[in-house]
Amino acid sequence: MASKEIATSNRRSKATLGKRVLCALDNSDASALALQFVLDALVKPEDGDKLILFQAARVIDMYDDVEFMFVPDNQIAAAQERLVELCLSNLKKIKEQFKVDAELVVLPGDPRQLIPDYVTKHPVDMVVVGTRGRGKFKSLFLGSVSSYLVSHCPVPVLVVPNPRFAASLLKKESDATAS
Amino acid sequence: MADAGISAHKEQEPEAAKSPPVQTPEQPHPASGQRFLCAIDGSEGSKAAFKFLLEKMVVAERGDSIVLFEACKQLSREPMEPESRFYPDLIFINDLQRKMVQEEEERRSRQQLQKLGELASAINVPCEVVVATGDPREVIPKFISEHPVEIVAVGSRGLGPMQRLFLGSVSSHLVHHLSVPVLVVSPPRAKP
Repeated sequence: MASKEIATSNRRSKATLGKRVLCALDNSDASALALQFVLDALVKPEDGDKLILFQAARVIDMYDDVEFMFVPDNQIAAAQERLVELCLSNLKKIKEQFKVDAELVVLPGDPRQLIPDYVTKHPVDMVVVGTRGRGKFKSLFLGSVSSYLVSHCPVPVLVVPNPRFAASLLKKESDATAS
Repeated sequence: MADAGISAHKEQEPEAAKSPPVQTPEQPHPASGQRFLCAIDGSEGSKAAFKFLLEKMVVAERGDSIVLFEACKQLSREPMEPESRFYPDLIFINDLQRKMVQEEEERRSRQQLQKLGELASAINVPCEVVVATGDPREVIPKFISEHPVEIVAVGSRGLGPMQRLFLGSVSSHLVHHLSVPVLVVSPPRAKP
């Protein structure tokens, strides 16, 4: 790593190209915190940084999603599309709330596959996640998606912690050990 | 567990003697500058983390600065202690010998960190070198509680013998226990 190489590859000092940041969202508090951090401290429009808001929409499964149980088979695809549209409109509302220039991406599937896949196909410099989303294991500090992405994403992953959740977990542990 | 105290030796990077050709039209604003802590242990992941910070994250004009942090292994008195597994052949005759080897380790770390720091000074980013002794899972959070930073950058896996399946023990500990965002950088994969 010659210093000359770093000097020429540091595009930031020449203020030409910014970085592209993908923020993974899932309507949870943790991902809202992650987005807040990204907007406050990470993405600087004056440097040309670009933001991508990414949401992995739930894949409708007739057996798991009660509200879709009575939808006929040939309309499942349409229902899935409507779900994606709904997620997109939610993201648009978030975008208006924060007044940020961002690209919105909503894809159906598992974020653990979608995000690394998206990152290999599109230019993304880093991925930002919250600690825990709306998954099933609520006692874990780092949710399944975040912990998977941290080790399986081809680009660096920034984990934004949730101090209140961490405090409540610690409190639960101390209550359990006390009693 | 004996003295896991921090003997942090801080050294300020001297300002670059010759200023690089492309330079800053406006003065740096230290108030809006961010501090990044990069945890180094010689592994490819940590080098990739530092490289990523330099290329994509720090902006010299804004007054960003980097703290290069390495936690040296604490050499213990007892040959059977867990820390001694790194040096199975060394049995110290007395405390003086142990202290000498420890100081040699710290000096070696500081030299390596300063070499990395030169890369930062090449783009006019101030870089502070900190070498501490002890378990990085303890000394890093302790350092951050005294010296706040915005983001901590670590490699995903280190050099330690415990190669966990997904994430190294230190990086996973930091991700779980810090209240500061942690950036985990994987070493570049060798493309066949």
